[in-house]
Amino acid sequence: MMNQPASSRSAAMIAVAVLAIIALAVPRLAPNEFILSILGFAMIYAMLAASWDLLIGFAGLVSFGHAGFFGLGGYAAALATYHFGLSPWLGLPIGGLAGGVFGILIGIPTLRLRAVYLALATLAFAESLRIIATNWHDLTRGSLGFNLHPTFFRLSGEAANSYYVVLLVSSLSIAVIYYIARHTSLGMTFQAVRDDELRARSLGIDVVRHKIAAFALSGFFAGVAGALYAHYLGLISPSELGPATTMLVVAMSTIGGIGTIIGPALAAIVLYLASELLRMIGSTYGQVAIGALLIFFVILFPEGVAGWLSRQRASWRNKRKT
Amino acid sequence: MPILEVSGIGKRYGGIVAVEDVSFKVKRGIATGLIGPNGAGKTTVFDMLTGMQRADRGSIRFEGQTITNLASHKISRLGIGRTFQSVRVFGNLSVLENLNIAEANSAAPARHGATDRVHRALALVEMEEHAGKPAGALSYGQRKLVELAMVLVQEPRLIMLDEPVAGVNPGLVERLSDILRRLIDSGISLLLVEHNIRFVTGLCDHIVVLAAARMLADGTPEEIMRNPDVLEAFLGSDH
Repeated sequence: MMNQPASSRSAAMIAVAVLAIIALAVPRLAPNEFILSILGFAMIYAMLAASWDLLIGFAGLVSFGHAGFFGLGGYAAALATYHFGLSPWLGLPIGGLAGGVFGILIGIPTLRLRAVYLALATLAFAESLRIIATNWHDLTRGSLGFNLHPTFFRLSGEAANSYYVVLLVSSLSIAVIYYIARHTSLGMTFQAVRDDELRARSLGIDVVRHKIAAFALSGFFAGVAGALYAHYLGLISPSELGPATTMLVVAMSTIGGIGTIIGPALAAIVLYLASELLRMIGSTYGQVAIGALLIFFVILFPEGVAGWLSRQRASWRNKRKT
Repeated sequence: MPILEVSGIGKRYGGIVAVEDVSFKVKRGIATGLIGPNGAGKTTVFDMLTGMQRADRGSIRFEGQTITNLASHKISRLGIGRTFQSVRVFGNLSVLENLNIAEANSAAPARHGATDRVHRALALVEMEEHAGKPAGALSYGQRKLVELAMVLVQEPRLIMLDEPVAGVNPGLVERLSDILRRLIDSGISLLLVEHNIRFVTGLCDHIVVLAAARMLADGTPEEIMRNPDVLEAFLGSDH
């Protein structure tokens, strides 16, 4: 793991603490159901972006099928509640498991694919799921999807309660993803496989197993995010499995800084809130603004905000040394 | 018993013969050199021995166990480490992280004392002061040392070095030579491909010569240096 200087670690911990206090205080500061609702969705997208970053930023696997993991998690959780009457709390691990198993199923046949070919194959997998969800009416209710009311997290009637549940699950998941990626030998091994497969194999690393593990882990967290989304919104439909969901996550991660986990998560929150604000002006403008922002970052800051900040900090430190 | 036995291995790429019927043995606790002109098939032999390329024919045995066409990560975990002709380290990670990855994926990762193993390897190649630097920011020679340390931390019994001193300065050649001697003294067997004949004859007790994809000769450095076929292969018929 990277040896961060103590000052940098302290600054990061202070920033996390401040963000946590703000997030916890929101229901008191702005007790408005709409604001809490969009903040909750922003946190779910933050978790989804972090799970995508684990796959591409650390394992180097380009997936354009992340909506498949997300939607499958949502559908699995909804099916568990709708058809089997299970507690929506159980829907979270069920959604995670569905995403994880789907990750393994995608991972195995696509192991030999790289870059754009892998991206296309994963996109095709997700699209297949969307088509199944749209057409298998008996199981999925087709394009109607599932209405999950009363939404479990609002049983108490307090919007703040469901907001806190989403905040807790998504924050914990992002923290776990960050820990796995940055502080475990599994995360380091993912990076080794990403950087040089041949060298990794010569060091005894089972590249195949690690790629499948990366798909499974990323799929698990995306699946939990999908389950959370389904119960938070009270609805899951085939549109969540569509490429628009994936593209939004790609944009969030690219702007935030691929390979940093925290960058994509924070960018997801900011972009989601910005897109909701822009939606008030008109949905077309919102989409156009996000597209323009993505082009701007890809050209001028390809390493994203987190990568750019990290480079500036390193350069400032070097200047101070000299 | 030799640590490695290679019997009649061969490799073709379509109509091109890369390696044809090559057989040799690597004795335990000494350095064996694999030399030959460019295109002789040395790196292809290395790749087949480490599972990076499939052998079309022949067999490879390590400590009596057949390892022919075994997956490369499994071969590594049996106790064979290797370095590459073009130095390969994980450039985005620090030197310490590079070694930690190698340690964590060794045949017997240390439950306790992994740090000791890593620091011993770093100390042996005299790279402790660079431990926190990104491996990609180091000089070519320093990256060669990190690559060697990554292999050492896995505590292999046979180390295969593909051109260990190619492109490094004379001072570092001496340093590498000294490190490799210490490894031999500690009982590790070496198999190395190298164009620097002075380095090979100074370090190796046994040399295998390949030319045009085939085995040309093998013997002690003195025998090899006197062999007219070897001289012709390296210097041409007018020597």
